[in-house]
This record gives sequence, structure tokens and C-alpha cells, in this order.
Amino acid sequence: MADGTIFEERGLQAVALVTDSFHNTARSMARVRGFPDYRYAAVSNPIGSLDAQGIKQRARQALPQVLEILGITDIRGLEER
Amino acid sequence: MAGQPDYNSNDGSNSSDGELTTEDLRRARRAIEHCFESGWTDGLPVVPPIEEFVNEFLSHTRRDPSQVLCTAPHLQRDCTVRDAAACAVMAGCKPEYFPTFIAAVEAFASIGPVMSQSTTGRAFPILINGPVRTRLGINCTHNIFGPGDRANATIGRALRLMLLNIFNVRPHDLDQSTHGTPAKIYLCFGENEEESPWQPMHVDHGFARDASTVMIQQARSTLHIDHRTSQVPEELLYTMARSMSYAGHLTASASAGGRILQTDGGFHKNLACIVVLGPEHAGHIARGGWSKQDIVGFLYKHWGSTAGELRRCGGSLEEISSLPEDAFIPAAAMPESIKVVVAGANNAGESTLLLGYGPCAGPIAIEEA
Repeated sequence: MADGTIFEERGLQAVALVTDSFHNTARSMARVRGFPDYRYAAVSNPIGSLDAQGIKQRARQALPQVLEILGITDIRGLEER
Repeated sequence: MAGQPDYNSNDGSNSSDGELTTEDLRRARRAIEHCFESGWTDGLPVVPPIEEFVNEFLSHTRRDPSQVLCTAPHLQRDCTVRDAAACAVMAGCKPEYFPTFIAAVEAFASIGPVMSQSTTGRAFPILINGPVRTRLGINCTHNIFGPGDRANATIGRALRLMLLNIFNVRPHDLDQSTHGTPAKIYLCFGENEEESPWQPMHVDHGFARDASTVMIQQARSTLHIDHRTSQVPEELLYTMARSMSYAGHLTASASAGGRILQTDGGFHKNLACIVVLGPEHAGHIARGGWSKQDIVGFLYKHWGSTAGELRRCGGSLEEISSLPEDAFIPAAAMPESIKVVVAGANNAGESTLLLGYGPCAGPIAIEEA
């Protein structure tokens, strides 16, 4: 979250990704960094123990959130690999 | 309780002889409750940090109260000398402990408050060397990791209160610890220099023996070593090396997820351990002709695991998957990741491991006012 807000401060669009075990920390860190309404993407916990298939599932979970936060509505040309 | 003052015999009227009245104690309790309600505590009562008390602590240092001792840019918070004094008051320190706590905060600054937010729930053991130990009554012998000694408890606790109150690293919030450890409440001890067969830690680092210093490392917890049936250095130290290598500490470091396999040695760049030898173990090892450097070399060589064992525990680094079953992989990147100190009572074959992450911060010299 700190990195995401630092990018934003420097004018770079960024989306912070957290697992849903870290909502409290994410919100606190955003508030501490001066972005109380900072939006971020959350995926299910855990991550570290997943295999490649599990990671792909988390990516599917994250992608619509990331696109929405970035304001991207036209995803033509993007295809799932 | 033996020796307990009989406050109940006082009716609460003003006392002319300096004795506490029942009404004084009621007010003190209300002040303590106010601190709880304000969210300033670690779950235990604190001394209210009123300006008079804070100024009394500040009189024990030449530092400017506004000097920043420790900073956390990502949290946009700093700890000044005055902030540190408030935390020392709250923890129950005596004012004369304050220069030692300043040194502890300065040592901690080089580790950085960010490490206090880890899910690992790290403690920050404070090691104190030099004459300040006797001057402040810092326990170096019996029960060094247990309760009962004000200097150990309150200097260590002040560091945690700084994290809670100045950096706002609180559980359920910016402190993401999964379990934490009781060592997070406080962990501060002195080296038992008087019963050590070797020169003390701060002298190893180039300080004069009569200097007083503070050193800090990150540790997951204390791990107890009990071996009373051998006086053979290799047997005692091999027991410690295997205890340092327990699966729950090493497997995570040997798994995918950003860990770095050192091409020239260990599989985690930051694994570190303070080996706290009890004086009895230290005596056996020294009588065998071993120096601290010899100990470090031996422990480094045997601290680690075989590729087969790591694989059975789920260690998933690609580099491990291609190694033979019995290929031994040292845990630490370098021997300097291991520090040896002597502390505790000279009454049994016991030692303690403070396993965690390095590098050590300090030693930092304690400046007396």
C-alpha cells in the first residue's frame, strides 16, 4: 500500500494488491499515507502456498478490480492467456 | 503480601508525612485507566507521561528534545528524543535508564520500524554491555528472559511502547503479526561478562571494555537449549546447530516467494542468530580450547539442512529441486550472521537461541549526560 501511494504521489498510476486478510492494514496504511479513500484490489488469502493454477485464479479475481480502479473499460485486444 | 503498605488505614485526608493516601491511589488508578481508554498501552498499565516526568527524563541527556532518533518514512512518523522520553516514562523506566534507551532507539533505527509490521511478529532483543549493566541493575544472570528485573523489563518495554504509540504499529492494524511472541512485550538483557571465558560482545566490535553499549537484532522468539550430559564442545555445539535448523524456521526460507538462494552459501540472505550461551556451556566449550570465532565457524558449517529434508518439508526453490538428497545447504549467507554472547546463570547446562534476521544493529555507545 505504501508503494502504491508513493507511485500516485509521483504521478504514476498504480493499483495496490492485497489479500483479504489485510484489509485493516491496507486501510490504515492508506490513511497514514494521506490517502484515506485510496482504492485497492483484494484477492483471497492465501497466496504463498498456491500452485500455478491457484495463482491464475487469483489473477482472474484481481483483474476486474484493477481495471476498474484504473478506469479501463475497453479491454478489446486483451485476451486471457 | 509481605511488606505491603496498609493504605486502608489512611482515611484519604492529605498526608503531611509524604505517605500515599487512599485518595492518591484512587487518582493514580483513574490516571492509569485513562491511559488504557486512550489506547496508549501494550495491554499492561503504564505510567502517565505528564510533562514533568518527561522533563525529568530529558534532564538525563544532553540531546536536544526535538532531535529525531528514528524515522519511518513510509509511516510518515519520527521518534524524537522527547517522544522517546515519554515512552520510557510510560514503560516504568527510572530516569537514569534514559541514555540507555536512547541508544536502543538509535540502534533500532538502523533496522527500521518497517520490520516491526511483519506477519512473522518479530521481537527486537536488546543486548547491553559494559559498566552500565551494574550501574542500572540490568540482569545478566538468573532468569534473563523472564520477569522480575525492572531495568530489563522497562527498557525493553519502552521500545515496544514507541512502536505502538509513536509509529502507530498496533495489532489488528499496522502490526500484521499472525501470532507474535511474548518477547514482543520486552526482551532486554545484559551479557554476563563476569562469567564469560571470552571478551564481551562490545569489545569484539572494537569498543573499550569500560564503554557501555546497546545492540539489537530481530528475533522470532527465544528457543531453549537443554543439554546437561556432555562437556564435549562438538556435542554441545552440534546440538545447538541442529536446534538452529528446525524446519519451521528454514523451510519458509527455502520456498518460493521471493527468497534468495545464495550461490555462495546459505539459502536466505538475512537469516541470523544470537547464540546466548549459558556460563556452564560456555565454560565447557572454552576449556576445550575454543574461541568465539571457532564456535561461529562450527555453527555456520552445521546450521542448515539437506536438500532432501527441505523437499520433504515442501521447500520449493527450484535450485533445491535439482540437488542430491544429501546435499547440505547452509542456512546463513555468512558466518557473521551468528553472534555469540554469554548470559544467564551459571547453574545448569542451558543456553538460548535468538533466531531471526540480521544484520545486528549496533553496538551503539550509551552517552551519559
